[in-house]
Amino acid sequence: MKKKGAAFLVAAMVLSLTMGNCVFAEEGLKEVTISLQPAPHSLGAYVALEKGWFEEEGLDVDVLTYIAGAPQLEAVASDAWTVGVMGVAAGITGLMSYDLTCLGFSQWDYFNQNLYARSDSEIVAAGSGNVEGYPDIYGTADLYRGKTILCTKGSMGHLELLASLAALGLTEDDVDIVHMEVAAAYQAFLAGEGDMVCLWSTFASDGEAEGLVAVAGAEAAKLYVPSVILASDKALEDEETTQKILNVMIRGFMWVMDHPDEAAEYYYDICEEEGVTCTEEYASELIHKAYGPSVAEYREMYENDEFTENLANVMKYYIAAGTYVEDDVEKVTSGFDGSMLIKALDYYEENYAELDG
Amino acid sequence: MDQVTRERKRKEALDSMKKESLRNLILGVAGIAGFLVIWELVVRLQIISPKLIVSPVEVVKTLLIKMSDTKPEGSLLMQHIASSLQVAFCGYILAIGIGVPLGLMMGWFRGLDSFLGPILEVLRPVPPIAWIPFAIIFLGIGLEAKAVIIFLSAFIPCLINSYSGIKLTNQVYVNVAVTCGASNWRTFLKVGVPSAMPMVFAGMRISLGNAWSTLVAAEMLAANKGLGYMILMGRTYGRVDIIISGMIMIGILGIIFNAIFDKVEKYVLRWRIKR
Repeated sequence: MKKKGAAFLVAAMVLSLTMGNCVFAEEGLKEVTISLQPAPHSLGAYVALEKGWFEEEGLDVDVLTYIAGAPQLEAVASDAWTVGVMGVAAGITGLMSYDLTCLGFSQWDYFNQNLYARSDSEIVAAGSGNVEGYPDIYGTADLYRGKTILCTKGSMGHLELLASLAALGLTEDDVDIVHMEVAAAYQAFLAGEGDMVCLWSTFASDGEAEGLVAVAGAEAAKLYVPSVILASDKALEDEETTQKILNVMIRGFMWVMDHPDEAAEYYYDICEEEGVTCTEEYASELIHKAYGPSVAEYREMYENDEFTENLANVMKYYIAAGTYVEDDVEKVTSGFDGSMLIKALDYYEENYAELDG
Repeated sequence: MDQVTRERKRKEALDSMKKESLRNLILGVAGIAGFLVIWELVVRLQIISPKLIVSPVEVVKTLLIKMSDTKPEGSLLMQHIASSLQVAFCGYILAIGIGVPLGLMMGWFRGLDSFLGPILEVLRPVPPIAWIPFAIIFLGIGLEAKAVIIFLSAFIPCLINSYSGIKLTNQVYVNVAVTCGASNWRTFLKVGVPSAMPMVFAGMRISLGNAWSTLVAAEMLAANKGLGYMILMGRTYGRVDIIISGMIMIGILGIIFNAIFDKVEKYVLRWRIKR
């Protein structure tokens, strides 16, 4: 009897431990996995998740969060996710090397993507307004030539550096770029390494608080890049489900723009949860600055082929840097398919524009 | 046994050794060829998605292209190799230069062992990659910092093997030296060190492997050239062919240096009795 009792107890314990770790799909809901980054461009999707909008569309969504584009893309190669949001730098790699399809853009992604110098640098001393057509860039081309720049290659920071150099009439060969992860680059720069550093996110605002000066950057170089929504082949095979995911994402993106204060709170919570350095003030500042196209702007961009133009514009910098060649532009632009985005916009206007707005 | 018989037996033994070497060589080549054929088939038959892995033929093509093309990461293959060799060997030579003498002395002189042993025991399990933040703060992002990361991975095997090697010195030899009036320092140099050499070389061999395997981590610190950097950039740009090319080059260079190391070891320890 004792033996039976013990066996029952062990079985109950094993069962409870196993069941505790199991996640069951809610009845009748379609299970899907999407991938996001703890960044403003993914915030709409996080909000949708919190508010239960995916469930409303009949989806049981599992979210994979990645801190950078490289591991996010490696995961899609093994079908870990079907639809994902990321910066355009990783997006280009997704289109080039992983045969993903770009369904559309989420938010503009050029805020706080800057090239910083120390306040006692000769570039800062030279002041801004010396580069024709780019009044916000500090210094002159000669002052940048030969400088050591700490930068995460293949990231948005790298892209803004390429654009800044192009604005100055320079290329990567004119400077010495040292590849470092952003956190390490920031730490090394504060320790006295390098002449300039590419920073974004909280590192940019922390850097400014430390007295670093943004001498160039995406906005200063007029690089108005978006973040992208990418889908795998598997996602395109199940068009109905992917359309639903996109419908919800668009609803989320629009809600973020309409409710920036509340969205900033969500953003701060996500950063806390994912271990991203953030403060409530920074979250508020960033979300108020970061915005995406409105429904009308999305439609206009689609009609004027601005989506593909934008991707081709980004490729221009990579080609100049020798990362890609001219022929690759076609592969990237042909990877854009905005038809589902237009349906998602129609769906939003019909069902949610008034309700959420 | 006359001279002719001895000569014949020696020749037979030599022939047998040659045959065995040839057989081992054939088996080794067949193993590699078999592996490459299976790899090629796995990719061609799409048993594994081409997005996840490229065929060996593609890797060879990439290696050839990288001889003259800097795309996409900005340097030629030879520049990557030269940069990595510089980093790896600076760290490795430093590890031998410090680890071997220190290990030998700690094994021989108890006071030094008691003094340094506890510190080294604490530092030993710390992975080299964990030192990266400190390497940046104290040494910057240049060659010194990367060489120190390699040093940290190569130092411990050198130290431990040298330490253990000298501890295993036959006490009879030590007693003979002391009886003949040799000082402790002379006994250490003339008896302890030679006796420890086989173990020292074993440690140096392990260190060489460690130095190469830490290359990617060291070049994660900061780089614009190097095989580790090439792998990292391949990852960033989703280029599996570049990742595998970098890995294969690290492997090939590892084999070459192991072979060179073999020759050096055989020459230095030529007095050793072969079993």
